[in-house]
Formats: sequence, C-alpha cells, structure tokens
Amino acid sequence: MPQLLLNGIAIGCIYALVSCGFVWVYQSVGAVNFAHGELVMVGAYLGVTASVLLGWPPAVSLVVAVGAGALLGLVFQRVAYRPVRGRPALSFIVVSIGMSILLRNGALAVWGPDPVAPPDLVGGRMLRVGDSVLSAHHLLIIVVTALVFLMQALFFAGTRLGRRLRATAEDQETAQLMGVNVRAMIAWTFTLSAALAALAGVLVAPVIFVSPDLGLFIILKAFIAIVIGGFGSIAGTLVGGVFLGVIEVLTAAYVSSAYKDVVAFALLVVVLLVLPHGFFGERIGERA
Amino acid sequence: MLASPAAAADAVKIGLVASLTSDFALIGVLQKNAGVMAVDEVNAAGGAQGRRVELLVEDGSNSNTVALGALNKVLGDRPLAVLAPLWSTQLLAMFPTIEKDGVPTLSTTGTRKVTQLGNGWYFRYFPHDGITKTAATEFALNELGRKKVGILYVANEYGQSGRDIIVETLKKHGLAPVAAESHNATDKDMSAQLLRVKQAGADVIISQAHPADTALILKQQRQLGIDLPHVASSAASQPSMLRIVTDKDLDGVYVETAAVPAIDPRPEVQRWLRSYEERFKTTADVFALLYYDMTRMLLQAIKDGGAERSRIRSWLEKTRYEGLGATYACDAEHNCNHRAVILRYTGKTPTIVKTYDSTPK
Repeated sequence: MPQLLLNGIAIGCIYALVSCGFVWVYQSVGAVNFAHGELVMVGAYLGVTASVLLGWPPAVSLVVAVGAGALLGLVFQRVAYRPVRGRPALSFIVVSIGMSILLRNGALAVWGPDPVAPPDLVGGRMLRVGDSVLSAHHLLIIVVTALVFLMQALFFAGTRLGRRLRATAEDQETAQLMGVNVRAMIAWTFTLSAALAALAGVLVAPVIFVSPDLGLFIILKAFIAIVIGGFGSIAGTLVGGVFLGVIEVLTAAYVSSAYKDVVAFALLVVVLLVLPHGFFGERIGERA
Repeated sequence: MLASPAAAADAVKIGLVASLTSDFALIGVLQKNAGVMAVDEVNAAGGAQGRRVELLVEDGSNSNTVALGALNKVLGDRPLAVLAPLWSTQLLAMFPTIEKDGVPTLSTTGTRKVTQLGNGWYFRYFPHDGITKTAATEFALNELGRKKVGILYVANEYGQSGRDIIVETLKKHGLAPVAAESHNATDKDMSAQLLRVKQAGADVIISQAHPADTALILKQQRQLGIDLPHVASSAASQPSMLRIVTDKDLDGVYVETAAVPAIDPRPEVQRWLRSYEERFKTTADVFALLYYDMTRMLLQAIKDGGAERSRIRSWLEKTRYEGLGATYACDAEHNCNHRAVILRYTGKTPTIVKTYDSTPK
C-alpha cells in the first residue's frame, strides 16, 4: 500500500507540475496551449541529451534542461503567440495545435522513435520501509513538486514581478493602465510555464522513458487533473493532479487494471456533474 | 534508381509496408532494412528470373488507417507479393484487402488468431503464440518447477492471445493462473499490476507485452523488490528494449523468442549480422533476421516458382526452406516457423537455456 500511494502521488505530482504551467498561460492569455505537453517532452529530451549524450551529472543536466526549456518558452511565445495576439482565443488554440505537431515531429526527426531512458537523479536508490520498497526518485519528485508550489505561492504573493504577473492574468487592460508592461508579463508567463514543463519532463523521464509521444500522454492526464481541480485554479492543479494519480493507481490495484483509464475518465464526468467548478475553480466556459 | 521506363516496367515488384515512423518504428525500421538487404543481395546476384527486383516501400506508422492506406498504395502498382507489418491489429485491418486482391502477404506476427481466420494468401514467419507462449509456460512449470503463475499482458489482440494460450497450457496441467493483469500499451505505471500479482501469491510471472512496456514492467518489478522469476515475451530480447533497461533490471529474466542472431554461433549468421550492422549502423534483432529469411524465401519462390501470384503461393506452401533463423515449412494454416527458444539473461548477456522445435518433418 505505501508503495502504491507513493507511486500514485509521484505521478500525480507530475500531472500537477504540468497542469500548473498550463494554467498560468491559460490565465494570462485566456486560451489553452495545446503544445504544452510537447514542451514537457522537449524538456525531457533536453535532459536526456545533457545526461546521456553529453554525460553531464544529473543535477547539471536538470538545470541546463530547465534553462533551455525556459528559452524555448520565450521563443514559443514570440513565434506562436505574439503574431496572433489580439485575435480571438481560437487563433492561438489552432496555432498551438500546429506547434504541438511541429514539436512532436521535430523530436522524431532529431531524437528518433526509440524510447530513451536517462539515469534517475538519485542513482536508482531504493528505500526499504517495513515490507515496502520505496523509490528515492519518486520521493524526490514529491519533494520538488512541494517546493515548486511553495515557491510559486511566495513568488506570486511576495514579489513585484509575481504581483504584476497576477495583475496581468486578472485583467490585462487594467494592468496596463496601472503601468504594467503586459507584453513583457506575457513573455515571462510563457517562459516560466515552459521552464516548469521542462522540469516535469526531466523528473518524469527516468520513470516512464522519453519518446516523441510523451507529450500527448501527459497533457491528456494533466487536462483531467485541471478540470477535476478546477479550471484556472493553481491550488486545484496540485489537488487534481495528486487525486488523479492516486485514483489511477488504486483503481488498477483494487478494481481492475483493465478499467484504470475508464475509471479516470468516468471520474471526470462525475466531477463535472457534481462539481461543475471542480474542487476550486471557476465554471468552465466563463473564460474560454 | 533512375531506371528507364522499359526497365522499370520489367522489374519484379514487391510491396513493403512497415512502421517507419512513430513508436512502432522500433521494429519496423529494422525489418525494412532487412528486406532492403535481401532484395539488394538478390539483385546483385542477377535478380529474380533475370529481372531486377523493385521494393515499393510505404510507412504503416502506428495506425491501422495509415497502414491500410499504405497497402492500397503499393497494391496500385500490382506487386507480386507484399511484405507486411508484424502488428496483428494492422494485419487484421488489411486482411479483407489482401484476400480481395489475392496477393501473397508475408509477415512476422506472433498473434495466434491471425492464421486461424482462413486467409489463404497470408504466410507467417514468426512462431505464433501457440508455440512461444506454450514454450514459456512449459518452461516455467517443468524447468523452473513453478505452479502459481501470474500473467501480465498488454490489453490488445497480441496480449490477450498470449494470455489465452498461457491459460490453456496451464489447464492441460490442471492449473489456473493466480492472477492475470492487463495494462494499456501506453501506460507508464505498472506497479499496481505487479503488486496484485505478488499479493495473489504468484511464484512466477509470465508476461506478454511490447518492448517499451516490457521495459517498464521489468524496471518496476525490480524497484518494487518483487523477487520472482519472470518469463517475458520476445519483446524483451530486442535491442531497442535492451537499451532502455539496466543490467540489474534484466538480470535473471527469462525470455521466449524465436532466435537470437547476436549469440548464434553459426558463421553464416555472424557474417549476416556484421554486414547488416556495417550497412545500417544498428544491430539486428530476431525480427530483422526472420524478416530477412522471409524476404529471401519469397524471392526464391519467384525464382523457382515463377513470377505469378498463385504460383508463388503454392511454392511457399509446398517448399521447405533453410533460412538463417530457422527451417521454414508452412503448415495448413500457413504458419511457417515452429521453433521457440528460451533465453536467460545475465546482466544484458543472453544464453539459450532451452529450445522447443516442432517444425513438421
């Protein structure tokens, strides 16, 4: 049981990290970025390139991948968002779908179709607790996620940049009237969101291997987590992600492994029926 | 490639549909290479019946629709035969077209059901699950002395077919599996399935899955400290899988497969392997080796039987062919390979611990 819960929480934390960056962009520009999963995938590949191909230590690879991921986010914003800024949200959604296809096929061309497995960040250590064997890497994922959520809460509440980003997310026009450089804030949002995606990619890579289709798998799950947690809520992404991860593992263990995904999606329907706002969020459709 | 129109019309055409993109390309590209190699060798030696052999290559990707589109495209050029992908779901989608077109189609699928559907144009060059999974189960019972079998299988035609044969084989011994757990091919977390098998009291695990999910199963079995012997499907012997697991993940694991070119002591197999590696800068696995044999046997059929579809079919049905990976002799269902081996891995080094051969005499 502790093993199952740990695995469920760890994969749930990955869903939460991915969802969090996704929601930042959604709040900031009012449209969903369908290429967000591919930013996770590219981040994972950047980590693999640094650690496996270049032979850099795991910690250095992590920092480099997150940095490069952030840069990719900035470029993505410049190429995919800036040209359609000011047009209906649908324009950006369509562009983001195109970018998702471009990044996936780009990864296929650059890194090939074979899955690759980077070494985990804690040297494959296992901790024995009673009858259970716990993976140190899974614990690391949980600790890093907790730190990220704590830091982002402090960042948005306690720093000048954080408050400007929040103001931009709240209402772009009013923020602009107050002297906030909205363009720069949106660029920051994309950059930070992509950095978080790359972090999630590097953390999850040793657990599930990296292939060009990684983004599709992860964004679908993140999307469920976001809806369960409450569309648009940052706290909701953490709760929704962990809730989904744990439910998936428990369903496979105690109900039926064959119906794991059926239960996850049925749960989504039930949550939407009972709690149309999710656990924390605003009603879907109020924005998009 | 720039043949004159007359020479091109004169060429013997063979269709080749394989997964060249997507996650399925793990095996598809290795197989296409093997097909190209066989055709080039025959062309260098004067072609088939004095005519150049031309391969019409199309990508089947990981989708039935794409594969079917690819098949239709190559059939438009009226090839004498088609080398098809090994994915049973793609094959089943292609079957009506193959039967309608009456084109000899060869592939290396393992799924039992494929040759039980009465498609008279299809030939199988990999031992089917009825052979390999029976061998794996017999091995677990007789050689490892186990009685409580836990099954892990991928939730598709291939996985379910494997599961059914394990269950049937156990039944013949008066046994039943203590657990049978499935996962989706794209699942990333197998811990729940592994723990269920452990909690059910299994004393051996037999699995039927593709390379990437098999790698996850083996890795997570070790991480969870589930110290049970594991007899994995042929996916676990493929180079693509070996690259993503560690020595520790694979140590002590048994794998059922049809042949292992890398450890085959025969000089002709080693020669073939070296020339494959030199040319394609990657190592060949069992699927590449059998695909090469299959292509060579087809080209032999065109040479000896004649450049006509029904004559190729009857030649394939009647002829016993010595390949590098096996001796091929097709039975009434067109199953042409009847040999299975069980490997044991020490780190990433396999040794053959048992051979099961039921090739018709």
